[in-house]
Formats: sequence, structure tokens, C-alpha cells
Amino acid sequence: MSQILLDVCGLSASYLTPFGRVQALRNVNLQVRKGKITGIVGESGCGKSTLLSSIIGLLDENTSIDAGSINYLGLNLLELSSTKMRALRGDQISMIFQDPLTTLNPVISIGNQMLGVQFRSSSTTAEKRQRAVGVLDEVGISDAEYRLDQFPHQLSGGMCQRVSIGMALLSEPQLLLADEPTTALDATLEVEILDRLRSLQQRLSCAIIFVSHNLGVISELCDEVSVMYAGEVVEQGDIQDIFLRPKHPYVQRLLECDPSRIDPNQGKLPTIPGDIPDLITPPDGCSFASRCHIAVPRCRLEKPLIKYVSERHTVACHLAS
Amino acid sequence: MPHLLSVDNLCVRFPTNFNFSLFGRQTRHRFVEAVSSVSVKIKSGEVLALVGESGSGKTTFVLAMQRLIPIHAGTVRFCGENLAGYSQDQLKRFRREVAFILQDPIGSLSPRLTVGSLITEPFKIHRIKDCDLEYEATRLLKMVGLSTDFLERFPHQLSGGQARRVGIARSLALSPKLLIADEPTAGLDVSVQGEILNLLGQLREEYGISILLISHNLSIVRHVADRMAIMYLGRLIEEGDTETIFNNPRHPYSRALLQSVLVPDPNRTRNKFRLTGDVPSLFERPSGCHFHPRCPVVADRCRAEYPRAQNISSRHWLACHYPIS
Amino acid sequence: MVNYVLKRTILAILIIILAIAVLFCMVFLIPGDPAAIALGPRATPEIKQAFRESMGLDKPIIVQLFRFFTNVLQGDLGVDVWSRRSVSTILLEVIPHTLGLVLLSIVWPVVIGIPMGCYAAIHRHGLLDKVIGVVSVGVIAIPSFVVAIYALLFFAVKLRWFPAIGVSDRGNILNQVYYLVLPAFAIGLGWVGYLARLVRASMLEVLGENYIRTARSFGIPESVVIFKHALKVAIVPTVALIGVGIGSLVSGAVFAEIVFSRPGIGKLIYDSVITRNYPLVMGGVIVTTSFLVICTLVADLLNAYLDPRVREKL
Repeated sequence: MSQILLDVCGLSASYLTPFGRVQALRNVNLQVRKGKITGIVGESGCGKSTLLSSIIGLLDENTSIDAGSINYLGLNLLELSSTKMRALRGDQISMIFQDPLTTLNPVISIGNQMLGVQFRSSSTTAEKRQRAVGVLDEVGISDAEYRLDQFPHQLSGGMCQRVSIGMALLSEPQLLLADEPTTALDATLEVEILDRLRSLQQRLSCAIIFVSHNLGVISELCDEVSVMYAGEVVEQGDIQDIFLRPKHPYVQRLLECDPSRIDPNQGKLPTIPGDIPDLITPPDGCSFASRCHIAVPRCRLEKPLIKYVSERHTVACHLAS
Repeated sequence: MPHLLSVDNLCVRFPTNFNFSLFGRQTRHRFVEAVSSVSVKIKSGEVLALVGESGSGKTTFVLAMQRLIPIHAGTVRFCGENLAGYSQDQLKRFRREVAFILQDPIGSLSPRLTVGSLITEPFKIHRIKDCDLEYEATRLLKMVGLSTDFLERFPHQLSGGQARRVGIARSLALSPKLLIADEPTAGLDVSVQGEILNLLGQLREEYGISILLISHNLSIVRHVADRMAIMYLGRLIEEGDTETIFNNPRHPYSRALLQSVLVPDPNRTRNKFRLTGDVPSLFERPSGCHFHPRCPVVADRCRAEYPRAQNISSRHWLACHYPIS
Repeated sequence: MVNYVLKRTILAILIIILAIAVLFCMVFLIPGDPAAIALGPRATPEIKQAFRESMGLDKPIIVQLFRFFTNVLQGDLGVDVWSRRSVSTILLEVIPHTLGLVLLSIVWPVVIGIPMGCYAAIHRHGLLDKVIGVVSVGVIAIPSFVVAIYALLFFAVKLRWFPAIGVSDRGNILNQVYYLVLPAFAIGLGWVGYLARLVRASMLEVLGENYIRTARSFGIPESVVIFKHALKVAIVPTVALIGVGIGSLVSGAVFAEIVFSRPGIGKLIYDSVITRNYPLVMGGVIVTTSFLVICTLVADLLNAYLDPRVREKL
């Protein structure tokens, strides 16, 4: 079993709103192994983007970490000085984001942005340019040399996203954080990008944390997956475990709701009625209890502890066996 | 009985920026053709899905069809009557019969009006005097499955799914015959998508409303649409019954599109029917069949000649020189 | 970029031509007979007629306009009604003084105001940000001639640090700048506030954009993020404002020229209007208009260099 690269322990984070403090992350545990692709899936409000921002240390001004640790190869990232944390970013830990059209600087050429990102390297400009061309080829951009002198507004969304992925992988990071990178892309392009991401990952053997709300994408790309709901991790395991043998009622219902898994002759599509609970005053018991079809009184009163279904499959539910 | 909506060979062109260069080449074209010769027919009580990715022209088509943007060529007939000759008054009446639900649920609702005012706005716009607005508002909320508590709420107090439903309620105010829904589930979580899709299905069954659904999300299309039409770079490339196309897509693009639907099933074998490259820009339409640069089964004829429509059956046609079997 | 430069320059030339034509035609809207006004009440009709003929006032407008343009292109802007000196000569005497004043008046606020705005944006909500905010509003609110008068009283009369009136009579630059310090300070003080506020607002907007987050996610040092990634985008509206500002400063400088008794175009135009000295008014306004158009041209070209998206729009 490969070494643990990133170990998130009991992470809790909150941000301030005019109505109060929203508990965006509550006691989140996550382990990412070297060279493995871990998925984080959840719907809106589950905290998955906050989790990634916490790991790379780019939280908003009004978001704070309240408890827990983020251990990267033994170092607690939360205790590092900002200089040391900055040294890791873009070198060992890289990130790609959701909206390709606003992720690149509009007034700096693609080439200059890709050179700028290699600022730690002592190679010559020509060598850095060569590397940039190489990586653009790998992500599927034709005419890479010509593209280096273009600006982001001259490229389509798909091409901008390819450039972003290329930039993130220039430094050959150990850990790549991907915040819904294919959500804004067309389906046919999404599939191609996932393929390229997988082959790049195999070449560099970096670990990837891939966040998405799309279950199909996670099952296509990832080795392991954590499902989040209302700021907590409710189930974790290999994709075989989670997608074929889910134990948490939310995960089960979520899979049932995915239209691609439903028989078209079924008639009415299932939904999960209700809303996520108020995260300013989160419930004492299980967060999903208010919408759960098998909830019992204990669920509303007592927070479920994490149970081991098998060595790598955990679930947080009173009723899961 | 004539079709409810019949669009023939619709073309929409946009003028390009008149770009005179003192040095360098001028833009070769004065216009770009966003929609080329698209024909679509919808019967009463039918649900047709218009499917395509970015640049396919589906939203442009739908805007042009409703005379919201100018048409370059082609005819649009609603209930047998040609819209071309319509005066402003006649167009206004047309807009009562055809309702358009826009993509952004919360953005399309004015933040200063309550849900009750928003839903009854169409009555005020069309100056319908002899009706009980409160009764209508309650009736419409009931049609979309929301309680009367929502009448006094404001858009920012609604969830995405609720806002969508309010938008649908508003569009149903004047009992339209045709509902055009642009990406009705975009931005909604999977757990609530079903609400909207079930609602659309219910509207069709209980009230006989026809629906033109625009989407790039194929898995929802399968559940709602009777027929589907696939667009690529402004042209229709395949059209037929939804089940027929899903079970056996004959056009290479349709096949690639359908296989890009990722099912959350780790044991599913992945087919290798992948596309490469990006959608070309409308300024640089490829020659011949404009899908040829990305087609996995391209042949010489495809580069030279645009394929004419072939009928596979009476309800299924496509435009490809070498359809896949 | 070359295309944009050429197109924009041609546009500027066309604007200047059009502006001059419009200005010329406006003279005809002024009530009263130019000859009577120019020559006084005791002029006889024959003298007035001779005046009209010599000025070409009896010919059709188009002919006059055409004649005027050919003269302008040859550098002949007409003749001062009173002193009979060539307008071009008179203007050339005063332009350097105004130009020096205007340039110095904008350079020092740029050097101080832009870093102030940057600092305020980076250390938002800090004590210094709040101080800068109050100071900016304060200096914008005080009219420049009030600043001029108080500066004169305090620094020139009381402290005797700087000369009170006039321009330098010696040739060297340093001495000329010495005479410019107080007037430039008076005119430029409000600009410090404008620039600081504008830069602060632009920077705050840009610092919240996704591409800044991307730059930080690559571990790029914060100073590089601020100056290379953020400021380059944020400075664009400021450059446009400065371009228009310099152009309008020429006429705004009239207050400083009056208070400090300096020769300059602003004062010249003002005096010419009062004495109905049309050729001089026309000449002066042509110069100030052209200067404004050239300043905005330079600002636009600079913006096109900084932000490539601007190049596509013309």
C-alpha cells in the first residue's frame, strides 16, 4: 500500500456571514495516498471547495480554520509560516479551478504566464519555453508555439482549461488539487480531458484530489472517493465499495437519483426532498436525519461515529452495518 | 392536423465586426452563420429535445424561432400560421401561446418582486383585466407543486429548485401551448433535478403542453423527451425518437456524445469512441462535412462534400456519408 | 498592435479636424458684428467694411473655413486684433510655460497617488487605509484656487520658501521648476485624491478576480502578484483618466496662472475672450483642443499596450 501523502485530521472551518458563522467544514478526515486519485463528491453546500482551499492555504479573509490539522509528508500545513507554505505552492502542490475563462490573466500572454509559473527554475528562458510547448502538446493543444503568444481571450474555454492543467503540471507536483475542472466544459471535451489527466498522472505519478458533484466523472477517473454532506464526510472508500455497495442512506439515495442509472421506462424520477440543514446552527445529531428515509430518533440526537465496513471503507451512520 | 410548431430551413446570421486592417488580412467574411437550414416540427403534446454542445447554435435557434432575434432565411409556422407577416400585436398574442423559460433561475426573477407578483406579471403585461390575480397565483403555484406560503417570498429566499419552479409557474400563467425550456436543470443538484423533470412530464400529461427542451445533458433528455434532434456547429445532424437514438446512434458525433455520458458504475467498460480536438470556430467552418476534422471514422468524401439528409426510417434521419451501424 | 496604433492615430487626426471646424463655425454664433466689436464704436462703416474684407468675413462660410484650414496647415493662425502680432508667435511664447506646469502638475500626483492607492487596497481596513481614504476626499473637496491662494500665502509670503509670482528669468531647468513648485502643488493636490481612490477601487476589484487566485496558487511572491499581475490590469482606467485629465488641466490651469501671475494659455484665452480678440481665442482653443486629443490618444495607445483586449475594439 502506498505511502500516505496528505492526512487531514479533524478539520473544521467556518466563515462569517451577516447572519452568523457558517460551519463549512466539520471534523473532516481524509487520507490521500501517493500516486492515487481521490475523489471528493458532494452537492452544493457540502464544503468540498472549502476543503481544497484549506489544503492549499488560500482561504478567504473571513474564513478561518477552527480545529484540526493538515499533514503533508509529516508537516502540518496549518502551522507553517506563510513563506514556507508559499514555497510548497506551485512546486509540490498545484491547483486547477473550475471556470477556465477567468482563471488566466487576461493581459499577459499564455507564454509569459507559463514562464512566470516556472520562476523557481534556474533554466534559461528558451528552455522554459520549450517545456511549456511540451506540456501544451501533452494536454492536446495543437500549434503550441503559436499559442504561446496569444492571449486568453483568443482561446476557447476548453483550450484555456487545457492551458491551466498544463501550467499546474509544469512543476511536476506531488499533489494536484482539482476543483471541478471539467464542470464548465462540454461533455465530449470533458471525457478527453479526463483521459489526458489520467495519462499525465500516470507519467508523473502525482496524487490528485478531484472534486466534483458529478458521480459519473468520479467513477470514471478516481481510485477512491469521499462523499461529503453539509460539511462532513459521510462515507469513504474505493470506488467499487462506494458505487456498488454504498452503506450511507444519502449515498444510496444520491446514486438512485442519478438519471443515467435510472431505467428510462421508470416514470417519475426519484429525488431527495428537503434541504441541507442550517449550517449556522448545525444539528446535534446526524446532518442527514431530516431528509433520511430510515432515520430513527437516535439519529436526531446523537452524532454517528465513523464505522469501518472493511479495511478502507468507512461510513458515518448509526444504522449502517 | 398541422404541427403545433413547424420551422423550415431557419438561418440566422450575425454580422462580424467590420474589421478593416491597414496591414494584414481583412476578415474574410462579413457575417457568421450561427444556424444553418435547421428544420424542426413539434406536434401537440409532444416533447422534443434539442441537444448540442457549445457553439451548436441551439440557443440562437430558439431565440430566432420566437422572433427575439432577426431571421436571415426560413419560415416559422405556429398552428399553421406563418409568423413572418405578423404585426406587433399578433406577435404579442403569439408570446402568450409560447412560453420561454430561461436558463438562470434566480437571475431571471426580479429581486424586488414577491413570488406572487412575479407569477402574475404576465397578466399585467398583456393587460388582462377580468381575472382574479390571487386565484391565478394560487392555481399556478399548485400546478408546480409549491404551497401558498411562497406567495409572499422574495427570490433570494428561494432555493435553486424552487426558483426554477417559480419561473415555470410564471411561464404557465397564460396557458401556453408550447413551453421552451432552456437547460431547465442546469445548476441544480442531482438530488433535486428529478423535481423539475417530473414537473415537466406532469405538465405534458395533465395539461397537454408541448415542450421544446434545450439541453446538453443527455441523461435527463432520455427521461423527458419523446424525440431528440442533435445539432453541431449550427446544423442538425441527426433526429429521431429518443430511445432509437440512445440505443443505436448512427452519426459518429451522436455516438461520441452519447458515450460521453458518464455513468457512476466503475465496472462499466469504457468504449473508445472518443473525439479529439476542440469545436472549430464558426468563422472557420471546415469544408465538406464540418464534423470531419474530429470524426474518428473520417474518409475522403467527408472532406469534400457535405452529406445530404438520409432517412433511416420515417421518424429517423441523419446527415452522414458513412453512418455507423 | 500596429493596426490599432494607425487606426487610432487617424481617428485622432479626424477628431482634431472636426473640432477645429466646429469651433470655427461657432464664432458665427456669437451675437454682434465682429467688425464693430473689434474696431470700437467710432469706426466708420468704410473702415468696418475694410476690416471685414481683410478678415474675409463677407465670404461664404465654407470658403472661410477652407481658407482657415489652409492657413492653419501653414502655421498661420491669424493675427492678433490689437497688437497685430502673429497669433502663432504669441502662442509659442506661452505654451512652454503651460506645458511645464501641466506636466509637473500631473507627474507628482501620479508618483504619490498611485502607490497610495495600491497600499490602501493591499492593507484594506487597516489604519493607513482609513487615513488615506479621509485625506483623499479632503483634497478632492478643496478647490484648486483655494489651495493656490493659501499655498501662496503660507509658503511664499510667510515662509519665503518659494517665489510667489511669475516665471523664472534664468534659462536652467532647476530654476524653472523652482518657480513651478507652488502652482503645480496647488493644481495637483486634488489629483492625488482622485488617483488614490481610483487605483484603490480598481485594485480591490482586480485582487478579487480568479486569475489572481491562480497566480497565488502557484506560490508566486505577493509583490510580483501585485505589480505584475494585478496592477497591470487595474491601472487601465487610471491611465484613461490621466489622459483626459492632462488635456483638461490645460484650461484648468487658468486659476493657478491667475493667482501666481504666470503667463500661460489658460490666462491668454481668458484675456482674449474678454477683449473679443477672436483670432487669439481661436488659436488658443485650437491648441488646447489638439493637446487634449493627443493626450487621450497617448493614453489609449498606452492602454492598448497594457491590455491586449483593447486592441480588438475600435
